[in-house]
Amino acid sequence: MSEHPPKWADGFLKWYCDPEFLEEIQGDAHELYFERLEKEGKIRADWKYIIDIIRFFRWSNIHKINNEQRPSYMDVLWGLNVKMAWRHAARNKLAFITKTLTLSISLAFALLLTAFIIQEYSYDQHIKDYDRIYRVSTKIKIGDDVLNFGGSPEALAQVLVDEIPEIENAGWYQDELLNWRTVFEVNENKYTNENAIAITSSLAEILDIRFLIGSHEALDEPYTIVLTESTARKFFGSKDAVGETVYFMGFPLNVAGIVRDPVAPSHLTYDLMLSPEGHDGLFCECWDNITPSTYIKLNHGTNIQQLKAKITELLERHELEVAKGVPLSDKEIVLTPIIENVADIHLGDPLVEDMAVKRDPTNLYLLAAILLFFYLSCFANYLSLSLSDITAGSKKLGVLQVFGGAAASAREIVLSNSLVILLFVIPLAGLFLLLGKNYAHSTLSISLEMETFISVPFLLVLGLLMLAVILLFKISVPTLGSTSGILKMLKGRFLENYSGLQTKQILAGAQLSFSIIMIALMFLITDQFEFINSAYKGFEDQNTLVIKVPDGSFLETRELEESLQKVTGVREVASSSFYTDRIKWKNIFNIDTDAGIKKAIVSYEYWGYDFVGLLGLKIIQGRDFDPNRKTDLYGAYLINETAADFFGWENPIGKHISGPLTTRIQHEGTVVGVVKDFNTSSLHEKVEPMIVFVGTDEWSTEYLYVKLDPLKPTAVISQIEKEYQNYFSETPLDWEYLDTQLANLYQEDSQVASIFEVGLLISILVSCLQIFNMSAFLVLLRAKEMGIRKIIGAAPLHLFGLHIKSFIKFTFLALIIAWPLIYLLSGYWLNNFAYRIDLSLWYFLIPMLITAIIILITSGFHGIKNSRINPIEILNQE
Amino acid sequence: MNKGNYLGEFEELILLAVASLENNAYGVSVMKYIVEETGRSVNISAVHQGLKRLQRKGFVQSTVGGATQVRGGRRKRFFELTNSGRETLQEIMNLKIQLYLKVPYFNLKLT
Repeated sequence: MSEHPPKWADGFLKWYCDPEFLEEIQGDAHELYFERLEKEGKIRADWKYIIDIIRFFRWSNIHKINNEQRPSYMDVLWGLNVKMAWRHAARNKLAFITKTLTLSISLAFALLLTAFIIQEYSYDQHIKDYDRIYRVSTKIKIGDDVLNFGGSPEALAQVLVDEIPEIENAGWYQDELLNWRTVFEVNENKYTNENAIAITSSLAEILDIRFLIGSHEALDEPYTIVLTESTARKFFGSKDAVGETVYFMGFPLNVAGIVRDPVAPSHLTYDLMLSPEGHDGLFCECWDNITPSTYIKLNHGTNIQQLKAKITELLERHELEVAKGVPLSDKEIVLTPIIENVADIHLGDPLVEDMAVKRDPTNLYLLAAILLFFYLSCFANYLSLSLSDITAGSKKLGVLQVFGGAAASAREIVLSNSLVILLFVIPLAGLFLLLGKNYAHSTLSISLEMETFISVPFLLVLGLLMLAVILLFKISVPTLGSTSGILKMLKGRFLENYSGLQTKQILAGAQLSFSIIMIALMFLITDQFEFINSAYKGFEDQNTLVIKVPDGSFLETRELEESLQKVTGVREVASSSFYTDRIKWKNIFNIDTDAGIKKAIVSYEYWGYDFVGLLGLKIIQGRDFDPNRKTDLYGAYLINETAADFFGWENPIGKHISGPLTTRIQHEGTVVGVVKDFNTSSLHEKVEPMIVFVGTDEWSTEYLYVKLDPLKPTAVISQIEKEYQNYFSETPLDWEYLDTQLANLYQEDSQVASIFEVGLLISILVSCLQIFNMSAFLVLLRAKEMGIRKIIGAAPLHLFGLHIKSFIKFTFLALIIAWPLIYLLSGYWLNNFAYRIDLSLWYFLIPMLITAIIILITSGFHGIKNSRINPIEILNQE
Repeated sequence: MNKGNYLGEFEELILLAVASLENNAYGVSVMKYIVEETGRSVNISAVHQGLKRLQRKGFVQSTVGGATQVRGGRRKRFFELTNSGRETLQEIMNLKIQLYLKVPYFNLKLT
């Protein structure tokens, strides 16, 4: 017979099939094959044969590995192994507790950090169809100045829907209503801390805002308001809020709907939403209000580049309407859209006057790097943990094997040891995770949502972690597989050849290098913060109160200012628009440079007459505003040094400026003084050019600065409050100290710093324990050697030195790994500050010294023990 | 009848095939019988699996036959019904008839 079934398939069958069934299965398969060969031809017969063979590949047909001579099956010894592991743990209580604690703490920390990073990257991804929703911001180019502006013209949204077919829907919202201090009145109670936005119904629809009562159409009605669930509870208690009235700046607004509290992290936050309809003059569907943020929802498969070209073309047609009232020609102003996906806004580039909740991704990258180290150190920890279990039980295992235990059983014993530890680690880690989550919420004001912990990426990380643990386990126990290993073990050679020690050294080295990096970065971060705090801000922030004044109340403010000046304990009072945490206002000014009149976008402030003196700002050229000169009111400007440089003026005094041009208030005049540069925002940013003019009646006064006598501030503050109530009985007093306000600027950085502190503490703890553990191991290994040395006449100090010496090698290893990483990471972090410290050699040397001390302390205990050994006892033991 | 001895629908078919094939019931013949009689497409592995399960449940027993030329000298494993298997088939048939007869207004033609 020349024909036969495919040989490889036959071979496969022989390979897997249990010999007991092979003959009948092969027989039947062949019989069918030859029948098919005649009827259906070779190709089909071959094909069907292969399918049959694959179908026979079942558990019941598969050849089982038969190892019944040795009692090695997991199911037989399982209970016993766990019991052994449990006893092992109970005997070494301290070691067991420290191991489980360190492992679970680092695991919990690593998982929390993972959740935090994942959450930062998953902003706004909960919105339905978020991949089709984009925000349109405006890039404004006037002359040579470019301004990436967070807002866009109010009229844009409607025109986009009407004219561009790819856009399914568009809408806008605006955050700053009249000003940032909104007062809502419900049943005689006043609420001032609500985050209110005006939002079109179309945007509510796009962003998939869930209405519990009513629908997004409620926002189409004039004078309506929509509350979140918790705001409704706050305003009306358990009473049904719909149909009730809320007074906003004196206007009655009808509560037309309730929405769910925003749960998932989003760049857009709100407590209540106002319909933009009504409110005469506040919203105008016009082009020159560029405060709102515009969002669009696209049809499927829209090409963004083509869309951008279309929007650019559209904006071009309306450029002059945007610049209404400003004497600009068509060529001088160029508008282009900035289109960002809604999910990218949170970590996106900073824009001017952007209302979104944002985070600088540089800090996140640093945290991600730390996280990676942390996982590695967790693994190193786990690996050395199972390794020490092997060595500890090696002799026992050897005996077990000689008496008939299978080689594989050694694995199972180590596995069950690790499993018992994991049994404790997993719930403990869960507990620490919860504690850490609450700590992050209460102390660092980082709230981690429950959704993050069940999100796909987080579960993926968990899965990978499990996989890594299993793989690591496989790597960590190969030594015990062979029979030759058994003999070695019994002879004690396993301990002699130091193989376990070397791996341990590498692991501890890796862990140590991680600690070194953390120490260095910690020093760096602390120094940088100190630098910022002590750096020349350009003004005095001590004993200064900042009072937020209700809007549109210039006369009252002026009177309050005067009466406050009479309060004892108050040194100076001045009004100003200056506020460190505020989005900077920018506007267009005509600047008389040497090259002729030029239009420039510059940030501006308006100050009261005494503000320069109150903040202790230095006038380096010219003079301050003078209340006795009438012309100063609309015709005098102060500029800062940077502005003088920026405009190319060597002698700025007397130079001509007019503006801000887009407002209806006409200021025009000359520069009267130059102020030494001071930081209006955080030191992440460089000082920008700034123009200051006198705050007049047309400008609303924003803040009152009060300089206090440092002696008895509390009494003065209550006095101030009393005076305040005389003028503004409707709104409660809202004040802050200037220096705490400045500290708020660095909240994000201090969050990172606190995460670092915790991480540093954990990593130092873990590496201390590991070194301690290793040093105990070394003492065990070299006990005999030390005994003999001592008998021959070695001094205790010499023995101590010998013990310490074993640590030098891996400390060097750790340093070699750590130094370049310190250099990279710290350079990266510092780059994100405009004003920063230099990276000195100390940041490399100090961590080295600290690690040296750590090693001395943790291993010194055993070193001393070693040197004071009684040689007779040791040598007697065997 | 405990769950372990419960007879699945496909097992019942195999058992019937073994019963009617009398002395010639082995993997391929059982498969062919089912294919021919019921028109179902059945694969050989499933038949083997079923036979093995029936043997474990004690409904059939097996003997290894002599070598033949067709199979390259490989022997067949022949199956035959045990008493328990026979009784079970009987029981199932009785039970089914009893149930079918209780169906009201339903003129089943039982042959």
